[in-house]
Amino acid sequence: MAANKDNKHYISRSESRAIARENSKAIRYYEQRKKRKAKPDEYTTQMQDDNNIVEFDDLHTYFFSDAGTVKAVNGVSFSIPAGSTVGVVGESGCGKSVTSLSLMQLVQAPSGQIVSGSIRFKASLFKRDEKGKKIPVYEMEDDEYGKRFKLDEKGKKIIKKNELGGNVYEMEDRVVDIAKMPTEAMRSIRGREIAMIFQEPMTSLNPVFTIGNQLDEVGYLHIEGISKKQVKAHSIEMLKMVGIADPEGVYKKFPHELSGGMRQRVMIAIALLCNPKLIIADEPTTALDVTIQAQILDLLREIKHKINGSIMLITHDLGVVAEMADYVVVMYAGKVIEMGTAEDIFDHPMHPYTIGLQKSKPTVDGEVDKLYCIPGFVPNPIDMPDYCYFRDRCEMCKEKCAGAYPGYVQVSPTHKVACYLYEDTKEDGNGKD
Amino acid sequence: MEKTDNGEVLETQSTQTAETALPDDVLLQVNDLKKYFPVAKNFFGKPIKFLKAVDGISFTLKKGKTLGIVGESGCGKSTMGRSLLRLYDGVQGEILFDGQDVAKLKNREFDKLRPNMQMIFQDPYASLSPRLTVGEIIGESARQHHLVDKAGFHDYVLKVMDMCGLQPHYFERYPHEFSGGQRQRICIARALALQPKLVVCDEPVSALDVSIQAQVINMLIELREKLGLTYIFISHDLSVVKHISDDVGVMYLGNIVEYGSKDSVFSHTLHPYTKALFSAVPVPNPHVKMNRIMLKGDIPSPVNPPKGCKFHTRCEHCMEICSRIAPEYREVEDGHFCSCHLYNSEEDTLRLLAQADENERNEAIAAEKEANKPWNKAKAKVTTACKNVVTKIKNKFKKSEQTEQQPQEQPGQTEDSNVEEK
Repeated sequence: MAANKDNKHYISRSESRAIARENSKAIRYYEQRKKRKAKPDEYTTQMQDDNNIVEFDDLHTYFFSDAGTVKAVNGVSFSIPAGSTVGVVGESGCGKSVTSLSLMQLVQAPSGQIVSGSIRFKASLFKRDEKGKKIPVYEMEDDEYGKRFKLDEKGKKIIKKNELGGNVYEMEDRVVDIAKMPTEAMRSIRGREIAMIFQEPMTSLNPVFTIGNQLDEVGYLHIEGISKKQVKAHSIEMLKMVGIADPEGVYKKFPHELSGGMRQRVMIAIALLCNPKLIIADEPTTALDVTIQAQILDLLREIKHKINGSIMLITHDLGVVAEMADYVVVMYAGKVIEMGTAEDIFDHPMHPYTIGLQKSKPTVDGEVDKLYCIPGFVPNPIDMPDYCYFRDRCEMCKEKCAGAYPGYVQVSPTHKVACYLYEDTKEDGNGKD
Repeated sequence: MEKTDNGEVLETQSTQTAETALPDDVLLQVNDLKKYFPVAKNFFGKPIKFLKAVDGISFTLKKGKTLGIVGESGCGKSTMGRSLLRLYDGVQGEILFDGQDVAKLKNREFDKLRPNMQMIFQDPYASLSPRLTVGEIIGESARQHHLVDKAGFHDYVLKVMDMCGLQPHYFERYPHEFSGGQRQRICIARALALQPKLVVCDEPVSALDVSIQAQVINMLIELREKLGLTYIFISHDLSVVKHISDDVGVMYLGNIVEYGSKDSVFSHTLHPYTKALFSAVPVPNPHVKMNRIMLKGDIPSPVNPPKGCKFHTRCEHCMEICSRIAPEYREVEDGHFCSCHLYNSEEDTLRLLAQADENERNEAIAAEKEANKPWNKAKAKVTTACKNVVTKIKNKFKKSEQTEQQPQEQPGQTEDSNVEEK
């Protein structure tokens, strides 16, 4: 028993039973909430700032594991302005991937659940009638008696087609709260409005289907009324758009026949198929070589201009972020510790962790004798301390740091940092103003 | 023809050098190292097609220095590292380590040399046995090579662990209890427990986070100074290689295309591939706008690499000579090697062009000879006959289709004409 007492991770049988009971209770509640039938009004909200496309507000995503509740995302708030690239940086396990998965409602259920907070997203949804059906737009023609529905040979009204060949339905712009949305309603957003590019193209493409098959599937799902030929033509056009030299050939190939860079291009093509407003790129270049990485980053930048959308770029590589992002969010242990424009973060890093992170990476240009290393390790996610999570590793620690978790300090209009070091400077600044 | 000639010449040289031994400060000398993997076999089981993972590499490494090897994935840098330690069979060329040719030693003899050269693997999650305790993992090889007796085992392992920043109470723990950084420390401790002279680090930090990376790199540098180690540091991360190495070799498709001291390679880059590689590294500074040299396409397959210079398919400065003959690997500046036609003198170009002409002529003659062999002649006859039959059948089908279409059209025309007549 002595060995058990020494071990911090030891859980007695009664304790583990209690945890399991709590977990099943919580999971049942959240699963039922996701399965419920809700009217759109229930999850409609208002944007705080109309320029933003996504706003995370105090998001909490927990994993109910057998060893205790892991607070993977613990109060994250930031926003993605329309038409910009936001880079989310942090070490592995800091919750950056879980934040993006929450936005897609793809957190590994049942153990992972969005517990509280809200994710506001400006979506254009299908307008629905009382029965919950989509309202189609019909072809009209001018007649001597005025405007009329155009009829086909059988006397039926013809639904208007868009340039791809899909049916046109009446749409409405609506701000939805993804954290409160039921899974069923989420389906019309996931893949169509928000698309995701995953880290490992090998594991995220299905090895037993051809590339064409996997591209077409997305088309069939999200573009209603499209014919087989039109889907194929659209898929091939997308492959051409992501810079694949022989799209017809690749269309027939299987994933294992392609190289890593080509596979990642295919993933991007799948993401672009429905003209999404927001692309989430979860470590899109981590598995790739430097030269291929440069190609893919170039492609992402080009595509952002083409579709006029936004990108949420998740990575641990500071170089990639500096090159791509307009805004940078630095995460540590499930919380945002610093955010601002790329210039703010790279020219004037404020938080000791951000400073340490930048100093610990060797650069090709600069020359350093000894790399700076942040001492210690990330705290155990199951029992997080009450005080600042970085306090035990911090070299600029103050007395105040032993208190509650620090709030955000607005250093400049675009730059926010969660650290006690800058509280005084902020007050000074206010005094001068 | 040319390669076999070279090989013979080198073999005769190698016997001489092995006797005369290397200069004192040189730890490792590699001459024309090759490792081919068979990918296809003929009917009798003889390999006929090879994947040339490492295709003729030569370098010398001095004691206490670090050689950094960079390159894209699939360029053979890991294969090279493993070949040096004889983790593969059938390695050609010579690897002179402390005056002994590793490639030609018998297994028994090589076992005595093995503690001197150790390896740190890429993935700390896959390279540690989950069923051994940390102490056992670190000490196992030392016991195997009789570096410690039973009584001193515990103390010896604790000493090594302390050196690598592992706490003594980890001795009884299992690898799954540790994070990636700690596991990599265990891997390093395992390599150092044998008191090696040469350590091959195969991407030791690429699986780790940035802040942990810095800890491991700092530790590797400290250990190098403390124990006088010599590293071969294989990585695709240029910034890390620049930080840790003294010499840098850039590999592309099984060859070293540029080699030199760190400063000369990074500040005065010669080879177009190296230039492209360096320009592709993202810099953590939003104000820097890079003039990227974009490489087109992917790295070609090493099973059938491009003829001539292997890089010419993606090269900006591709010339006519590049696709005809491979460039020579030569010293362009003092201690700075590069294999590229851009740095040829005029005489060299003429000589190489002449050689290319001769090679092409020889190849044409050989191909003709091959075609004239009775078996191949018969084969060609059969294939042409088959082709003729296929085309005949195809033509027949086409004709029948046309004849089907024509009768349909004709009645239509006649009807129309009838209407007109009416």
